Amino acid sequence: MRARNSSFLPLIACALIAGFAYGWSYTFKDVPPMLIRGFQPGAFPRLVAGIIIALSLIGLWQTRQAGEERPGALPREFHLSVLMLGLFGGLALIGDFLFALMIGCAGLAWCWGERRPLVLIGLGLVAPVAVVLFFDAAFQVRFPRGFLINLYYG
Amino acid sequence: MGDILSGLLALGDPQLLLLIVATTLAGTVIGVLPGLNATTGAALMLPFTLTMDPISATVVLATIYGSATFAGSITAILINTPGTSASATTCLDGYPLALRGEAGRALGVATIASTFGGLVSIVFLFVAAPLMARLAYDFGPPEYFALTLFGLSMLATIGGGSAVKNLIAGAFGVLLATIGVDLLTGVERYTFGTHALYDGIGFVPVMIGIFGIAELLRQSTRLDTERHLIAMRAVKLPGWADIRRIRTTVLRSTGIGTFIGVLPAEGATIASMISYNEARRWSPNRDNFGNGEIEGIAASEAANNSAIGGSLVPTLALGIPGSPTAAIILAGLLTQGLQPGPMLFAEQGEFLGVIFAALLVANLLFIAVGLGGAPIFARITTIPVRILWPLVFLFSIVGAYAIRQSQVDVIIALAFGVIGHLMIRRGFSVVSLAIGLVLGAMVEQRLGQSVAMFRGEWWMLFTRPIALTFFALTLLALFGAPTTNLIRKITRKEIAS
Repeated sequence: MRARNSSFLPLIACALIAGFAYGWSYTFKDVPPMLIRGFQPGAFPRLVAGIIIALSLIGLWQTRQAGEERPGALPREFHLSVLMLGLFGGLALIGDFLFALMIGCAGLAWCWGERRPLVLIGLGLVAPVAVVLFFDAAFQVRFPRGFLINLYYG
Repeated sequence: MGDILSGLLALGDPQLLLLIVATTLAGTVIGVLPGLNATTGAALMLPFTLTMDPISATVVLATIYGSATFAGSITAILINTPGTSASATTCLDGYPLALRGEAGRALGVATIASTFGGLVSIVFLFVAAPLMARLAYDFGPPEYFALTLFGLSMLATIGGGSAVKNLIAGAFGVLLATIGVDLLTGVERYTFGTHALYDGIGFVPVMIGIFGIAELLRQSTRLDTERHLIAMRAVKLPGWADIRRIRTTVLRSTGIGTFIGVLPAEGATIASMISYNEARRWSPNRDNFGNGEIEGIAASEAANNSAIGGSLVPTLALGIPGSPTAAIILAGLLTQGLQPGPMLFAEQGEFLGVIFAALLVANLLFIAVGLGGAPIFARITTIPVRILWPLVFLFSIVGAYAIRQSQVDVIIALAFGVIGHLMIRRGFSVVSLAIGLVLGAMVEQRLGQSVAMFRGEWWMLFTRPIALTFFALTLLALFGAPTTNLIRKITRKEIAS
């Protein structure tokens, strides 16, 4: 089996990320030798990053020798789900956490083909409110303030 | 023995007993739900356990582990979809038997084999864990470092994927563990200058991301999967003829499962696969395997449940997880401020007694759940994934946030969900990443202590016999299989020429 170029990409990405981590480790402050208990703070991350780079090179060689099957195309629902996760993350950070949960839950169900209004209301309204209230009351979790959470906290 | 007796006495506390019953039921629901398994279940329960005392928290995680693994057999037999990967081999004979109208018999065999395997492995855990912990009294930082390295090297054999990719994933886990302020020197590492990463990346958001959110994304690619539930009247306990037929298989598989469980990082899935193959090899009915042979069900179920007790032995005695779910239990113990190892046995004997006693009770509950509840639990599988998974998403996100009440943890969970899915798709093991993350800090700390102990002369590590043994085992784990393959290849070429 011949290896496709795309088979190499994940391993190249691993090597690049590890290379970046390796380089960055040289920016860590060194402590005076008298205070060191073991080794400098950058030494261990450098060792691990070096191992990852070496393993990635072995992986690239193996892929070249044996080839690798390309995974099948991802369906539309997957891309919509990733978009929905991104939308949730954005709304949670800049908007309101509870509102983001509502959009995230109902949005995922919608993306996966759920069209019944009662189910969407249950997932997008009842479930997030119930879970947030439950965590607040039972575990004393305080959620970040926003236009909806403020209605509850006052 | 006194510890387990006091543990059993502690179960007189109705609150704890109720917690075990509730968690066994919750674990069973998790085990039968499509896509959820013991590891995902434990990861989702982890945030809840942090509000509990250490005993209740560990009881919850250990019970979820046992009950979800057991429940995987219900869907394997009734809808030909293993609730957990550890029950994949149960499908091979369970579903054909169910199609012949003998679902009740198949579930009865699975229940008895699971319960027997689980109980034997818990007795083994009770006997072997303190012995192993006592051995660890002779361990200093070099021995612990060598042992942890051996645990990490076993990641090469996780699952059926590429050993190199598994090791890369494990090494990335170790690298992630270096994020934050170095505890020994106070120097910031990979924090991007943000205060949110000063304490490092938490176990919980990463676990929720790679096991919960990544599975959600995987489910989004399988929305067209149809599941047909086989109708069943009642579960039947196996008769004497069936018990005579499966007894040797159950005993052998329990032994294999317990042994595989003890090996670092190897879990119930590998145990059930090896046991199934061995059962087929030794059985006089080997031709019937795959067509509804009860020995096949017994082998798979006895092995996957016995691997649970086995996997908790190195987890509790040495702090090396024996399986992916044990890695989450270890993360739970560490987050609770408990350090597994000899001191845990010396100082927290009663705590361990309660854990053993709780696991015994949970295993006995499997009989009630398996015999009485299987048809009801099987109906849960008919919940559409487009309703179930948004709810899992909701609990995952709120759980990730609740630990440190930090939105950064939510973003970490989301990011690791996408990364985890990409990793699975490209053949990298997310389990390796999780175990690397849990063991990463220990490896660095123990290597640092060893180097300090030898005043910088790190090669002195190889002068300690126990450490040297673990280094040799590490080399064997890493290069044993490739070397054997190479020798076989060369020999074959020579014969051919």
